Amino acid sequence: MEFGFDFVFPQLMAGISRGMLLFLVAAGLSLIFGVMNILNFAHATFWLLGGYIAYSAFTAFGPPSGANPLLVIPATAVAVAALMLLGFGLERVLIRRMYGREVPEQLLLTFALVLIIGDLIKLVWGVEDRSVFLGLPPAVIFGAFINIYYLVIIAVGLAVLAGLYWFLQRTRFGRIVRAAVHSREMVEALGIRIATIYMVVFGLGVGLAALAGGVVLPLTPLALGADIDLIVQCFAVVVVGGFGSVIGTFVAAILIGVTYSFAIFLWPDGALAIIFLFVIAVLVVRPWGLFGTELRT
Amino acid sequence: MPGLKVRDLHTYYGTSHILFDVSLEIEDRSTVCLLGRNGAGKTTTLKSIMGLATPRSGAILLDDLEIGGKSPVDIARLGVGYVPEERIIFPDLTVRENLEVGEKTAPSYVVERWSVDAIYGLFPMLEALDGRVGAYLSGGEQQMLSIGRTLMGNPSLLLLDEPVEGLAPAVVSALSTQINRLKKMGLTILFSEQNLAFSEAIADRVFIIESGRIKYEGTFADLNADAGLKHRYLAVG
Repeated sequence: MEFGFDFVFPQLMAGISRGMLLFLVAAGLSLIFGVMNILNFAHATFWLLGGYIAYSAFTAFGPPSGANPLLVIPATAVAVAALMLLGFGLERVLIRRMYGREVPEQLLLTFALVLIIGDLIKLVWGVEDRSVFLGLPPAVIFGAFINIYYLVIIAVGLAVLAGLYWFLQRTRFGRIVRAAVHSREMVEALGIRIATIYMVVFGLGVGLAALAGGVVLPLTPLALGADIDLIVQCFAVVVVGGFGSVIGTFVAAILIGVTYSFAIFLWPDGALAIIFLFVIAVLVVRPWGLFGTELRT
Repeated sequence: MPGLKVRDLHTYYGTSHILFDVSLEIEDRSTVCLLGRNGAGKTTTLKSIMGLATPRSGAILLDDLEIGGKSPVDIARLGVGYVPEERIIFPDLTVRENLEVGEKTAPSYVVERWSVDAIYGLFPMLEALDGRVGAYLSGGEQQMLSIGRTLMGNPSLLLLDEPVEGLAPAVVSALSTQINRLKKMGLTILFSEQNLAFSEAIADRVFIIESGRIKYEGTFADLNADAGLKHRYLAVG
């Protein structure tokens, strides 16, 4: 195998687009932990469920192969809307009971959700992998063949980064979210109903996971258990980036996505191990992550 | 009679009994000080009024409306503003953003609503720090910001927990001028303090709390006339 530009560039683009997906899922995970102190082990399971719902919506609008590629947009929108509603409902009924509880209890509840949703997927969609095929021609960039869909995913990731940044920095709701990261009690003493804020943050986080599930549909087949692989990598992203930092989550997601993309070629069996060696190296130097603050451990 | 009435309050933290039969009466538009040593029950009294500590028995009436047992959010929305001893500035937010978080959509209890500019008018020091994040403020700046942030919610009653604790003398005297201005604007103020000179400069009446019980209620003139009382409860004089 030659490690020339023809190999490195497409692999880099694949890594960046993988990083964008990690970012979409990990951003919600990080936000939910930062604001509500809830470690949501089921976060990637919402991603998977979002993917299956997007698949059903896509195939309801057209055939799984050769349909209009733009069908991905309404299919993803259906998945995001469905998962946001599910997120609002779950926060009201289940997650709300977990505020202030110990992490093991939170893991117990959210891991139960992983199993329940996993079985639900099995019941509705069966155990076979599901995928859609768009048949897009590859793009030729700098003489290298690139899957054009990578560019779509990269654009979506950048748009979400900009949107989240704007939301957190420029809106009143975002300011309250950032304040709540530091002190729930003070926010409430200022007369702000935090219950509404928590519900919206949880729904938004789950909606971002569903967005990732819908967007990735034409790239990777949906498979049972894929959520477990992803959640482990998302935790790595959030830890490396620093909990509660959107920019940190983004940078860490791209770093880990690209690392994984090359590692899987060079040493397929050890790709995950390489990622975790990277995580350990970061934590040794900066225990609070690349962009986390030392104050908030 | 409008104002704040606290009657026979008993508050516990877990199984430990902190407040015993605490009763306070604060007339509308007056400024009252709760004096006492560390651990006397000052913070718990203010937290009980704010709903941050739940009294086991007793009544808290704000303008004759029972607020005891309500949540801090609801109490804040009824016009009570709380400035905690720790100030709790949001460290990632700028000075202006901290103030903006304090705005609330609830009905206002003052004739003239506060704005960021009005807060900067009261605390000119903050205007120069407009874009600085909360993590990089001095103690005095934090205290002014914390008071300003609470004022942004347009409260009618302001609760200040040890507002000048640990602050330099120049800042203490600035705060005393500024709080006097709030008083003249018609705010009802209840503050806890250990600093006698500061308290005397702004309060109309004083309560002394010791071991969770109210030991004295009266004016500073009467208190100053009784050296024994000051010595017993405040370790001064």
